[in-house]
This record gives sequence, C-alpha cells and structure tokens, in this order.
Amino acid sequence: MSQCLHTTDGFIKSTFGPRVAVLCSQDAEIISKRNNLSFAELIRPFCSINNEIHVRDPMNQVFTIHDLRITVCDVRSSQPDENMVKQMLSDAITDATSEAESSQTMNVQCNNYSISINVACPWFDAYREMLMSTAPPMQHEFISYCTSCLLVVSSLHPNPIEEFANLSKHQNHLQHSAKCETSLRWMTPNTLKYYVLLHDVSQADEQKAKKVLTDLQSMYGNNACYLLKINSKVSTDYQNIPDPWSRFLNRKSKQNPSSNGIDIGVNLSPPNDLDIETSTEVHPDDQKWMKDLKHTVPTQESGYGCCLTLSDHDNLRNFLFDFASHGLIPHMEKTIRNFSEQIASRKGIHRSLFRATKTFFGGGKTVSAPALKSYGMGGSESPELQVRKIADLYFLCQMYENAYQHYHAAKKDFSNDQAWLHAAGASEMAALSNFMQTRSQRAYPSHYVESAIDTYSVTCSNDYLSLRCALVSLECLRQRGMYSEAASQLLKLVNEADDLKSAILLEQIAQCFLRTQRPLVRKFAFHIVLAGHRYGKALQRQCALLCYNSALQVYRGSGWRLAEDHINFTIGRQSFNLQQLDIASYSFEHLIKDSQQHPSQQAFFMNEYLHVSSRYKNTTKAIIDHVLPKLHLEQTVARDSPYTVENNRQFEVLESSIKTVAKSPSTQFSEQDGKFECVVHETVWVDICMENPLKIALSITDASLSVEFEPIESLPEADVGWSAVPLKEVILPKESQKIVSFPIKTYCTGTISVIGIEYKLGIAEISGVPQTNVSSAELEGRQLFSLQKQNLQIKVCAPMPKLEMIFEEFPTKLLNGEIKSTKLTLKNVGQTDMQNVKVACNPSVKCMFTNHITDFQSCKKHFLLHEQRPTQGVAFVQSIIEGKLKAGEQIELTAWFQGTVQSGEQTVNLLFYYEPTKADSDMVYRVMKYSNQISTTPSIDVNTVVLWDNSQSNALVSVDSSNLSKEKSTDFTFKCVMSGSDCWCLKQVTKTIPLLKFQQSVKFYFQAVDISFTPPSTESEKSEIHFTDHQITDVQSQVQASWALVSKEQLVLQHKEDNKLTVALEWSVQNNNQICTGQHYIDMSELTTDATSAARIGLSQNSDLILENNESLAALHKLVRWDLDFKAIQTHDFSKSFLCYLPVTIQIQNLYNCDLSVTVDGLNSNQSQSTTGPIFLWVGKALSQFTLSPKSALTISMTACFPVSGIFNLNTFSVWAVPIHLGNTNPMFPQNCQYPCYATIQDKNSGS
Amino acid sequence: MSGNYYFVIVGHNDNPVFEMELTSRASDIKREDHRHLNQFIAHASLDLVDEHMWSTNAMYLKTVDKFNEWFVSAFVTASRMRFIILHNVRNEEGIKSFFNDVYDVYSKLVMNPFYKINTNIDSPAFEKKVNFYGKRHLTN
Repeated sequence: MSQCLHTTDGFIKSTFGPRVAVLCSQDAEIISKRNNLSFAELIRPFCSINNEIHVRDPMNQVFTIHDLRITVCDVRSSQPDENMVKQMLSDAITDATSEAESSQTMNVQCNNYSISINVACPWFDAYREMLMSTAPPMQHEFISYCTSCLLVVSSLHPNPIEEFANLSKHQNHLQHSAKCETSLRWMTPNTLKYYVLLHDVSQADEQKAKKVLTDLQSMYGNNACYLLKINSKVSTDYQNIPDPWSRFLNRKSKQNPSSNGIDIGVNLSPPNDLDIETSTEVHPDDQKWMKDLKHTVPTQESGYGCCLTLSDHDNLRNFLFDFASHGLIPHMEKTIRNFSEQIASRKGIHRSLFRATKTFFGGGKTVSAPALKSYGMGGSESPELQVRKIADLYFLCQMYENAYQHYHAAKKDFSNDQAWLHAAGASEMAALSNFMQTRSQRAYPSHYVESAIDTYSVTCSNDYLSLRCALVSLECLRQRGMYSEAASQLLKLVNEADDLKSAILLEQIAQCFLRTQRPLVRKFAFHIVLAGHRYGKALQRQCALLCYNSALQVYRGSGWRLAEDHINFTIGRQSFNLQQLDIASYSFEHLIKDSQQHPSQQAFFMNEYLHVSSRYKNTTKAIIDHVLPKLHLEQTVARDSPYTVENNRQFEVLESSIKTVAKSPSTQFSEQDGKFECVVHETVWVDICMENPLKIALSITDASLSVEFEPIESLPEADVGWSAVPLKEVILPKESQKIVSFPIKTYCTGTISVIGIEYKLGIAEISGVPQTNVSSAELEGRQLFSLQKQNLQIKVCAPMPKLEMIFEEFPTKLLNGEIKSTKLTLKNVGQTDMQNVKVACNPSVKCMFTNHITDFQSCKKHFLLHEQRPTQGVAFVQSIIEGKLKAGEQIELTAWFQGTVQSGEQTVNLLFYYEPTKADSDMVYRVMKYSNQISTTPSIDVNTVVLWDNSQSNALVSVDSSNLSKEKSTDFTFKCVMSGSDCWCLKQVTKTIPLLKFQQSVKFYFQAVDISFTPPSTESEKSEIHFTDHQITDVQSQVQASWALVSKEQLVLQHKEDNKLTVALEWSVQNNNQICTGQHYIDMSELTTDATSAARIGLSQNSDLILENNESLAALHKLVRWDLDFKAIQTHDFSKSFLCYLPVTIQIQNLYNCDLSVTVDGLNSNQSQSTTGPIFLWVGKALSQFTLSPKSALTISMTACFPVSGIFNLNTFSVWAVPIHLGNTNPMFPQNCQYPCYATIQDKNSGS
Repeated sequence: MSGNYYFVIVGHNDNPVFEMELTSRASDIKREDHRHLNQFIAHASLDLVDEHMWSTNAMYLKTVDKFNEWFVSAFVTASRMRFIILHNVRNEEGIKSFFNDVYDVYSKLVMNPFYKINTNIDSPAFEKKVNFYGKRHLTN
C-alpha cells in the first residue's frame, strides 16, 4: 500500500491543486532545454510552495494557505489518447517494479499464519500518479481549469516585449477561439497572465534583461512580471547538485537523457519537438536568429538541471513563491469576491425563474439521459455551476469550510435537477473538503463518496472518475483506519474489462484486508491471488510474481492442494517468462514432488518441469537435484552376486545359523562394522529401491552411482580404483516401487562410499497419457544421499576365493514326496583357495548334497532319517566340502530335492558358506545366496492305521493309499517300505500290491516288530520289504553327510537316536516318459510316548534327584514293560485233580539306559479287589527280585494255580521298580502295565 | 433443483479434511481447470465464517460470503469443524438439511477410535453417505 511520497493531505492537495498554463517562446524553450528540460518541467519540482500565503474570503476573513501545490501544464501539450494512456500506465508500473527493491517489510501474525509483505508499493504510486496526470479534461469540474497562464520569453530574444505581446495574443486566441484545440480550459474569461523573462546568466546580457523587465513592469504592472535567472553554472566547475526532476519525469528518458526529444510522457510535457514548430507565433524573420541561437547554445552536458547552480534552484523557488503570492492567489481571491457578489445578486430572481422554466418544460423526460444533462457553457452560466465554481475556488485556496458549504449546496441543486454527474462531482468534493478540515464539526461523510462512485461507475460509466474517486477515498479511509470500507469500495470497481486496473485495485483490497483490526488473512490470500492473476493477464509479470509469492505464504502446506498447485504453477510460469529459472525450476519441483493431480495434469507439470529445469541447467550450468523418483535408502543393499535375492531377512537368519555351526576355534568372527564387504577385482551390485509416486510412468536413463573412493594403498596414477557402466534405461511404472541395481567393478582395495545417483529423468512413452502431452525431454541431474548412511559404504577387501554354482537343472516342479536329483557344479572362481564349504537352507526344504557317485538307494535312507529329525529350527546346515577347493578348481555334487507333502509353491533359500584358507584375510568367510521356487503337485495320499500288540512291541500297520494325481496316465507302483530305526524290523503281510491307478485306492498291510525286545526269529523280518520282484541290492556306500539343525536361539539342536519309528513308503511313477521315485512317511510316533527321554525326567546316571513334575512321575511308573507267555486255553480234568497249574513265562524289559532294581510280586496281587470273577493264585516262586541292566530283558517263570474252570486275567501280579542309583533315597515305584492277559481254563468233564 | 455445489470440511488448522463436488445431472459439465477456484473461494470465506460464528447460537450460519456467481454457506460444529458449501443457486432449506445430516454422519465418524480428528477423511462409507445426502437435499 502506498506509504511513500505523499501524505494523504498532500496527495489530495496535489491532485486538486490550482492549474497554471505555461506558454513559452521558442527561445526560452531552447534555454531551458540546456538542462534537458522543457520550461514546464524545469519549474515543476518547485511547484509545491511551503511558505505560508494569506488569503481573504469575501467577508474579509483571513485564511492561511499551507503547502500550496500548483500543477503546471504546457499549453502546447496535447491530451494523449486512450490507448496511449493505457500504455503509459503499464509502462509506469513496469518501471516502478523494476526499480523497486525489497524495502521494508511488514509482518502480520494472525491465527497460525505469518505473512510478511512489502510496506511500500511503488508501482501503485506510479500508477496513481500517472493516472491523475493523464486525466482527460472534465467539463463539469472547474477545479482542473486553468486559473492563470505563465508567458515566458528569454532575454536572448531580440525583441522580448513584442514576443510577450505575441504570446499574450496567442493565449487569448487559445482561450476564446471557438475551435480551441488544446485540452485546457480556463476558469475565468480574463485569465491572469504572468510575464516571465527567462534570463540565461551565462549567455545573455543582464543589463539588457533588467531594462526589459522595467519595460514590462511599466506595461503590465509590478506584480505580473518576473525576471528569472537560470543557467548560471560555469561549464567547468563541478558541483553536486540534487536532482529533483527525475522523480517526475519519464524513466526512459532518464536512462538516455542526452536524447534530444522529450518523450510524450509524464506531466504534459510538450509533445512537439522544437524543430517541427509550426505555430503562429513564430515569424519567418525570426527563423534565422533562432537557428543561430540553437547552434550557439551549448548542450554538451547531460543530466537534468545540468546548467543550474543551487542559487538557480533558489531563484526558481522564489519565482514560484512570488508568482503564487503576488499573482495567483490574489487573482483567485479577486475571482471569488466577484463570483460571490454575482451569486448574491442573482439569487433572488434568477434561480426561481430558472427553476420555474425547468419544471415547466422538463416534466416528463427526466430519467432518460440524466447523466448527460449539461448546463450551457457559454457566457451566462447557470447559478448552480457558479456555485460549483466558487466552491472549487474556495477549495483551491484551502478555505475548506466555505468550500464544503458551497459544494453541499451545489450537490443539492444538481440532484434536484437530476444532473447526476454534476451531483456526484459535488458530493465527492464535499466529502473531501470535509476531510481536509482539520477540525471538522461533521463526521467524514463516506456515504457521499460511495454514492459518487456509484453514480460515476453505474450511471455515467465513467471509468476514470470512479477510479479517481475511489483512489482518493482509499487514501481518506486509510488515514481513518477504515480498511474494510475501503476494500468494499474498491471491490465495486473491479471489472472484467480492465485487467491492469483490476489488478491494482485487487492488490490494494488485499492489503486492506491485512490491515483491518483483525487481519483477514485468508481474504488477503485470495484477493492477492486474484490480483496476481489479473497482473498476469495485463502482462505485468513481476507484479504477478510478487502477488503469488505473497499468497504462497498462506497456502503453502495448508492442504488445499489444487490451490497450492495453481500458485506454484503460476509462479513457475511467470518466473520462467522473467528468466528467473531457478525459481521456476523450484516451483515446478513442488508441483511434481507430491502431486495428487490427474495423470494428464501430472504429465503436463512434469513436462514443464523438465523443460524449465533443462533450460535452467543449460543457462546457468547448475546441477539439478532431482526429487523424483523417491529413494527408499533404508532398503538399499549391496551384494556380490549378480542374482537379486529377495527375502533378505531369511538369509540373515541362515547366515547367522551357519556361522553358529561353522564356529571352530580357528574361525573367529570379528565384529562387523556394518559396512558391506566386497572383494577387489570383482563386481559389486548396489540395489536401490526407487518409488514413483506419480500416476505416469517415468524413465531413468544413463543412471550411474556417484561414488567416492578412498584407497587403502596409494593408487597408480590414472587409475580410479573403480568403474561403472551406466544403466541404459529403467522404466518406473506409475505408482510403483522398483529395485534398480547398479554394478561397480573394483580395481583396488579401499572404501567405496555411494553418495548419490546421477541420471536423466524423463517421462516414459508408455503412460496412458495422450502422446501430445509427452515430451522426449530428459533432464540430467542427480540425487544425493545423506552421508551418514552406513549401508552405502562398501569395503573393498584383498583377494578372496569366490564360489560359483551352477545347477544343471533345478527341479522347479515336483510331485508330493518325489525325490529328484540334479547335478551341481561348484567352482572356485576367486583368486585364492577356499575350505569348509557349507550350505544352509530353510528347514522346510528337504534337500541334500552328496558326492556324485551316491545313488538313490543310499540316499532314500537319508531322507527317511531326516524325516525323523526334530521339526523345530530355523536353518538346516549341511557340510558339503570338508577339504580345500583350490582357486580355479571345480567339483561336481549331486543335489537331492524332495517335494513336500503339501502341494503349492515353496521357496528354497540356499546359503553357501566358505572360508578362505589364508588365516589373515580381510574377510573371515564369504557367502553366496541362491533362491528359487519349487512348486509341488499332488501325488498320492497315505492314511495309516496302526494296530498295536498289547506289549507294544509288535504292530500291524494298515495303509490306505489313494492316487490324487491330476493327470490320468499316472499309475503309482509301490516299491518297498523301509524302517528308519535300528530297533524295528518290518514283516511282510501283503505279498503284492496292485498298481495304484488314476483316482483309485489301494489297501495293504505290513507288520513292525521291535527286535530289541524280541530278536528276529524268522527270515521275513528285515528293515526293508520289497513288493516288486526288484532285486535287492545292497547299500554299498553309506552317505557320510554330516548335518545340523539350528534353532531360533542359534543353538545347534542335538540329534538324538530316539526310539522313534518312521516308516518310509517308496513309490515310483511313470511321468512324461520319466520314472519318478518318491517317498511318503508313516509316523508311528506313539511308540515313543513310552520311553520319554531319560534326561528329561531326571533319570540320568549322575543325578539322584527326581524332578517333581507330572511327566517324570508318570514315567517312573513306566520304567519297565512285560509280556506274558502262556498256553491260552488249558483243558483240565477237575474230577481228577482239584487244582490246575499253568506255567507262565514273564519277559520283563528295561526301557531305560540305566540299571533297574525290579521286584515281581505274585503274592500281593490286587486281583481280588478288581476282579469279581473266580480267583486264582500264584504258586511256587511267586516273588522274584532282580536287577535289569540297561535296555535288557529278563525272563522269569511263575506258575498260576486255578481251582475252577473259567477265564482269568493273568496280569495281576504287581511289579515294582526303581533305578538303582535312586534306590537308596526312594522306594520302589509300582509299574503300570495292567493290560489283561486272559487264560481260559476248561473243565474236561463239562466240555464233553 | 439444479446447480453446482462444492462441499468441504475444514479442520482446525484451516486444512481441508474432506472435499466433494456435487453436481446435478443437468449441469454436468465439469470444469476441470477451475477446480482450484473452489478451494480459493472456500478458503477465503473462512475469515467471514470465523467472524459469523460468534454472532449466533445456531450452527448453521446461512450464506456468509459471495464471490462472483458463488454463494458460500457455512455450518460450524460443536468441535469447531467448519462445513462449507459453495453453491451457485439459492437453496437454504436444502443446504440446512444437508449440513444437519452430514453432521450426523460426521459425529459417527469421529467416534471411530481409528479416526484422528483433523486428519483427512478417506472412509468410503462416509463419502457414500455424503454423496447420498447431497443427492437428496441438493442436486436431486
């Protein structure tokens, strides 16, 4: 908002100041031209008269005029036409903006907003000043009429007196000729003429000048003549003279002040160059000396007022004061006196007569064209106009109270006459005269101004008047702090037609909103955006930019994304047009960074960004820091194998597991410092995760890493220690993440720090956006990382072995349970030897690595053994090469994979581990990762029912198997069943099993026998049963693979030889002309429930404590088991003997690995309580005590004695047992093995 | 009743938490390039909304602002969330009922423990409800 230049008071005084015409002779003009100024321009800075001047009103009351501001206008100047005015206004703003420096700023804090804006708004002042100075002449306002005329002739003129007479004549001609050409109007018929003799001190003769002055004074009176001395500066001496002119003059001519012609410009400077002077006052005779004068007058110096000294300035000031106090003001005083007399005399009759005629004639047609109603401008003026005229004169003489009275009266009269334009003018001035009274009785009548504005703009559609009125009113309201009223007044004038005017007004409105009691920040923001928009339309880019930047303070990060984008986009566009490419690039960067716009809009923004930033880069050689794509640096990984491996977490587990297993005294794992390690002369890949948040696809071309390399040893010259081939093109699809791998080849040990990526960003072709919007522009730039990121440092180590692995054919498809082998070649492609090669895999994967001569027969046993291993654990580690693998050597292995029982996809993660043979290597070990998928499809389904023998040493297994294969031609053949335990043998029951055809089921049986309990008695009991006539081949080579299972807590799980029994069922199938073989497993784990781990219940040898838990107590009652052998049906002739004796063999087995003390007691049998049937007795040696060595069995004989026939349960004796090492502290525990063993005793007599 | 409507819920930091444009079928021509203007007008009206809400006990503030052909009506909830509607036709009753119904839905939304107040509302159910009330009261 305008803060500089004018106070409100001064602004009004200079806007409505007395107007003085200047009529110059050519010679005077030439003299003033030495200062590169016309005469009117020369005196202009001195037109504000600070000295007080006294004036009397008709009542002889004395008033003091302060700060009189005279407006001078050259008679010869012509009114610029409308387009020119527009151009001038626009230029004024452009000039003011380009000069405006970021001056004082004002800070507004409100709610959560903090806004800082410039206090000064110089282009607004420039606009306003230009607007006022190019005002079209207004007929209805006498205030802009000229009251007097300065006639100027130089003392160099051969005949100045005659020239004065000529000028005077010319003035009379101008004023009174009917066809007056100039835009000037004159207040009174007899205009005050003031004769100025311009004296060039350095050129002319002073005596002559003084004489001419005396002549003049005698002709025109003392107070109407003045000798003005200028140009007293001697050309050589240099004085630093202030330059008061440049403020008023066109900026363009200031830049080039030596140009002869003065531009059509500010303040009605004469448009006619002196050469083309055609007016009547120049006589042909004069032409000659005039030319001479032109040539003699030196014009070598440049700059305004270059020939003036400070005393000349004083001369000018004194001249104007003299003119005002002796010429102008007394003249106006006189005029006022005349008018007031006239009005007083006419009041009586004329007005009433006038009104009568008016009402008589103008009854019906009042409303039709009220604004155009005009009063006769000829000799006899209507009284209303006279009132207005006298009011204007009062105003000019700063007798504001009188002015107000008359304006008020005029306003009433004009409205009564429905002369709306005149009424509006009068009411505007009434308000102003009220405002100008320092101690007014009345309140400021802002409604006067409002109605004036309405009339001007609506009724009269006079843009200039309404605008002038609003701008003046803005000043008044501003001084009174009525900002919201000012805003609403200005708002009325904003229209579609005039962009520049609307822009200026909207900007002021916005500023008003910010200065209200409670700042209306959001209103401010919106209106400043509107202003910026209009400035943009009016091609005032600098102003537009300033507006939008102010608005951005409110909208930035506010969440109103569309609005923010609009502002950023406009700032970008306008800055680009103004060649402020850095700001443009920055703004567009904001647009694409986090855009939520539609794809086409995003493509458009992206396009603009690429273009603008490319231009920025090319012109300033700046390095562009890309914001897209987003980098997820936390996911960055480096790797030394070309395969990308997902599931890094799993591999970390595998790696720490394998380290646990590989831990040997010789291998000490140093604390890793977080740096990734790679080996010199190898390629390392850095995977960076990029995200494209936009809805269009982006392309990245020529991408490479920015790397800093710190060598350990000094490098040979010209060797950089690393090299990288840029990636040609990477397409990032819309709204996606992608991992991009950058290879780096190293040549030297040291540390590589990845500090950023360099690439060219562009829009990919495939983006579903109309092709016209997609450009081929690519923007070169980079993205830097923060250096703290540890994982972006890579240590380059000394030469190491390197393992490379090739699967001949990885089995990606398997049937459930199928076992398949493939050839695996391991090669040491590194520079040194390796040893201790191990591999870890996730435990759900069934795989095995053997040397290549091992066949399936020996392998299947191992899969069976693995099936028995504990199921918990996170990694399964196998040792594959114990010895060394020298550099360049390779070894062939066989890898066996078995499909899982469940169908589906399964990920196989293999982690190979190896150590260098050299002890002092940088790296203790290296790993290689391999990941692949196996998909398994259904084969067969096996359901088993296990029928246990009483003694649990013998079981019949019934197997239900069905073909689940999806393919019709698959017929499964069962080849054999195989026991996985040394203690259990299998016995054939079903001799042959038919082919298991598509969608069929088969049922068969076999028997399992515990050979530790009952030694193998027949040939038919062996560890394998074959159902086909396949020749049994002996297992020739035992697989010697050692393996370990690692738990979650990184402990190696002990592999225990439990008494667990798993039986493998082997099958084969013809599948796609290939014979596939597989195994399914039957878990008969009920067996093991008896023999709970001895250690778990505290039955280890060295402990004599019993763990007090349920499990151990239960186990202590099941230390032994026994089996009874007797003749099941005994026929006895009770008639011959009353008692029947039956010998019973009891076999007792120790289930544990410790010595037991056992008592078998037939005497204290508890059968009497439990059985209701007939009882029997043990006779003979019914109590035996003995010791059972670990896992051994003992047979004792007892005899049962039956008195009657019947069915008896013989298992009625009680057995007591205790581990010997606990025997001292504990009693014997009764053993539970009370399954019924029935003996049938038949009476021979009753049977027959 | 035809007309174009733009509805926005403004949070405590003057941030929009929910926006929706409601147009009747008759005037379906969407002016894509002027969508930001809605935001500007709505945001600018907040000054007057904040002024008006202290002058009445009612939550519904009627028309508080106007820009070109757009009227701005507002409704301030008990928790000072500001509902703002831009409309180019007068429809006081409809807007009032719309505000009340949306307030109801909004209250239920706020009771959701997973919704944090003042944050963007991206519940499809809420959107559907607002759309439904918009059709019923405004653009039917």
